[in-house]
Amino acid sequence: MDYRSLLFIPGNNPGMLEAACILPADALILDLEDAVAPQEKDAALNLVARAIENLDYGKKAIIVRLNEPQGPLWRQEVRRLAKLPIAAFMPPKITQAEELQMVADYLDEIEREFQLPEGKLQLIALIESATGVVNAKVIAQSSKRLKGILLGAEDFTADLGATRTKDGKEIFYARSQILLAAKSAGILAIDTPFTDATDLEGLEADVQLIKQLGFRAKAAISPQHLALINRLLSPSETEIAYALEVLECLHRAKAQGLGAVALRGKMLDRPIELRAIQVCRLALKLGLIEAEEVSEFSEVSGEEA
Amino acid sequence: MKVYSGSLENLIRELSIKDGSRLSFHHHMRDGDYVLNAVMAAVAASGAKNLTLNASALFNCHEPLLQLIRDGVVTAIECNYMAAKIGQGIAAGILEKPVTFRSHGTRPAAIASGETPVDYAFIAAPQADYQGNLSGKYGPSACGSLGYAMADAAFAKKVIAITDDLSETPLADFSIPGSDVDQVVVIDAIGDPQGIVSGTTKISRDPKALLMADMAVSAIAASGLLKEGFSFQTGAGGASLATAARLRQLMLKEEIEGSFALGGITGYLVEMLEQGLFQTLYDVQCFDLRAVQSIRDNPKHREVSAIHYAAANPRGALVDYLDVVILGATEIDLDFNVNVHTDSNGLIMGGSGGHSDAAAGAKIAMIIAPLLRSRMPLIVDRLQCISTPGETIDCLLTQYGIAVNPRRADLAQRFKERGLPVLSIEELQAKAEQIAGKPSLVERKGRVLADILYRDGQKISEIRQ
Repeated sequence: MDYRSLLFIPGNNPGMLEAACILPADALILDLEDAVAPQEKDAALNLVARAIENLDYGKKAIIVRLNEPQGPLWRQEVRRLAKLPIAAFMPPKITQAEELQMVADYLDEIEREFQLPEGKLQLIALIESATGVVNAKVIAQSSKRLKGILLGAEDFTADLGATRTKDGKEIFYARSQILLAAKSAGILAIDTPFTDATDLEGLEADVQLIKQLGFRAKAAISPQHLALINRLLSPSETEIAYALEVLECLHRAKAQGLGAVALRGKMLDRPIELRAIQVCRLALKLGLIEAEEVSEFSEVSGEEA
Repeated sequence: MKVYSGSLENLIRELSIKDGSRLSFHHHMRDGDYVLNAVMAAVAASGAKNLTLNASALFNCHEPLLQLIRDGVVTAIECNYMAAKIGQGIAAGILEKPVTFRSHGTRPAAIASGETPVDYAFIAAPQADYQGNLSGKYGPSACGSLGYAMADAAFAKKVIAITDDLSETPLADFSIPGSDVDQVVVIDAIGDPQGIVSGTTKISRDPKALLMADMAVSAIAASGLLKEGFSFQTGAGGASLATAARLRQLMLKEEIEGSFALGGITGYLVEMLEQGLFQTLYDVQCFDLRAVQSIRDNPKHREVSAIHYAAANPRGALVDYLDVVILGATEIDLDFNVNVHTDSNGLIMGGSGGHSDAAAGAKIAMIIAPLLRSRMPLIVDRLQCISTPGETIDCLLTQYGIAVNPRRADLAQRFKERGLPVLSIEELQAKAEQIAGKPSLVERKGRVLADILYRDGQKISEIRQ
């Protein structure tokens, strides 16, 4: 999973479900939880299922935010949607590993019952409480199905009793915790949405900050935010050029049987190589570089070395 | 004395309007107009019957007109646009003769040529002086341009100006000269400023509209026309404003100085003029207060008549010099014919306005519309009501991609080279029908409610009950 932008779409809004087909999000989070009033839950589930069955979402990954695993609705939602082309289910309000494991166990059952390929059903956990943030590391490693964690800062700050601000000082620790937990588990860390739809300057500062911290994915609640998120979280031309130079240098060194190699006086160690591979993979996926440019770097092109 | 000292009702009684007379009105007061209803009530009270009412447009505020039709006071209507409430009344069959729809350019030309003569023109004037000079730019009901009233004033047999702001000093900056005006009558208010213009115009936040605006500006850039001397027309809807906003960004970035923007003018186009992105605004109608202020204060913002704006005139009109016009559509068919007169149920809710004029004149006429409205696909096989012929439309832009008229292969090629999503109109139709299904055709075979005349004066289409 290497999404840059993940856009929440209310599951009870036919117009938005249709409009989402043409929005430039890498992933859509079709929401059955907070966006949907209790009396509309069944209608929204039906609508989301029909939208996925009938609309053309192109290359966008479809994620469905379920109702909370502590409640009665999420199982029937999984049953209704399991056979559809869904990249991941997103159980919300995850506070501890056991809750996520319970969901993962149910996905095991559903895969068997519906004869789906093992591991087809994947998860992204939504962590939005103090307890959840404290337990993030254990949660992140609790299931092979888990491919990412998203921080929900609005509920989290409400739980803390903190004041939510645009500069986000109050969530600095939580962001870092989610990021560390995700990175150490090798899964995607997804940052919380920026909630002011019209403040694009504020959004830009927010995305610059999380990029500096290490996030490469951000959720959004406004379609107006997608272009900026995508642009800022895409590798820049300078980053791509450097990454290609690093890989080229290492490739040459290997061919010559050299053990260690330096680029402009800086040793190219494994972390630098991994970062270069990551940048090139994303650039390749986004069409920012051609496949021929990285064909000789097997770790980028995906071929076995 | 040109200024009548009595009431409007008395003046109309004294005019002794004969049965069968032809009366005209302009629509610069839009949905805040008090004049048409006040005049027609007085005309009805005078006992005149069997009148032809020629208005540049009829808005929902003119609903009392329906009763005058039922009473036989008005038995024929000619206009360029008709809002839904009036359209619903007409759909009920209360008018025996079909409504005659023209365009903003064709109506004044037909008045000038005598094809549709006017016996009495009633001109709502935000300001008038004792000589009969009229202006739209001043007074409590200021609407800016009086472009649609100029032919009425110039060619009607008798011209009555109705104002709520009589200037005791002669107007220097008049829209209509006193030599065209027979009498001026003062009433308390000619309109509700809230309905005349909107105080603010907001750019759409609808993601579809914004996406289409981005695509439209990319298409305009790809066309090769966006360069020094670029000329442009668009409307006042949220998506049109979004397109203007994106265009402004690009013109600023690329340091492009256009030549003129045309038509109904918004504050957004005024800002572009002030930023040097256009040299001139040609204004036949102001859409908002910012535009009213600008036409009053900025000599580069020029009031123009509807004939100058859009008439099919061998001497040429401003639309003939347009590079790009952005237009809307309620429906479009596979031959790119456009309907802006009726809704998907076939009820009248609009009209050509300047649609067919600008489409015929501009180098690129681009329709921008969402592929679906609620559950109705935009594209149909064959329109029952054609407002603008497909041969004058160059492309249709929706949120799913751009369909280019096959006669503009050059444009399709340019769009493709810039990576724009070019599809055939059939492919766009299929996409819409995949989502919403194919609506069953409701064929209208009842009596003719309206004839739509094209720019050449010939009937292009009709609307049936």
